[in-house]
Amino acid sequence: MSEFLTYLENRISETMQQEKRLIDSGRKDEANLEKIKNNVYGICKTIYEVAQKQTQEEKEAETFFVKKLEHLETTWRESYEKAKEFSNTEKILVEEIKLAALSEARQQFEAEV
Amino acid sequence: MTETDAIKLFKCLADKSRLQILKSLIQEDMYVERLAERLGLTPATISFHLKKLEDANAVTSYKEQYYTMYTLKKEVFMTSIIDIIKEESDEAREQQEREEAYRQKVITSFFEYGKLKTIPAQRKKKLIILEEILKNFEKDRIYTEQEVNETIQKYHEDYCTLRRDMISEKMMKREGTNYQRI
Repeated sequence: MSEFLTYLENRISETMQQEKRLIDSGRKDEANLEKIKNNVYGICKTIYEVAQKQTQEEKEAETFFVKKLEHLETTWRESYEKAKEFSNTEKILVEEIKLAALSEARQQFEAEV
Repeated sequence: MTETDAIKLFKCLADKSRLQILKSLIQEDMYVERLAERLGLTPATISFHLKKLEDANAVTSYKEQYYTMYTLKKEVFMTSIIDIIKEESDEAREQQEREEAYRQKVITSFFEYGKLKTIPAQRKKKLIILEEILKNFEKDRIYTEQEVNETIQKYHEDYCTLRRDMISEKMMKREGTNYQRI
């Protein structure tokens, strides 16, 4: 499972570098969007570490982690739907990015279980 | 273009992707997917930038069959920066209001029941006082020295000083014994 942690750390580092590249090339708004991805991977890492600390049982930690991710997905999807309802383009994009990053992290996690 | 609009537009333009979008739109009107393909960005990112450009009044959209086409608002870009700078700003209005408030404060402090209590020592304050007294004189009328003295005397006994100050501050001109408001 430490592979998953390495994956998250890599994604955090990659998105941080990409954010810097975008700022340097005069794309501040896109850099902010990259920062959002970075935050999502950071959240996943925190939840994963909390799950690991909470129990020695691997299965229990996995369940805890997945449940937390599902809760986040539900909340962000609701926010996405609301943004769509009000045609809030900026919010739609932000929520899409959050959901995509979360989905990517979850798929990676499930592939490693 | 108001100052607020100009700030919004300049802020919006300070982004490479948005400038690239404008560079594409100056060639021809385009829809989101086409812009996304050209600029190597996702359609969602293009929509995000277009929304900002629309809010800044830089682009507008129209429907063409199934597509929403985006077009450059050329008239906005034809405005010269010098015209934007010349535009009276909110700040200038506020400054004017502050100046008027100061003026009123000086008048209230130095006048009592229509009489000038003392002649201000500070030139800035004295000018305000002189301007206030000057309101009694019509622009195109010629006044004799006696008329001028009598008018000023209603405000303060030292009419000679005030009269001379009006001349030196170029509020009034004197030709012989005749006086005229400038």
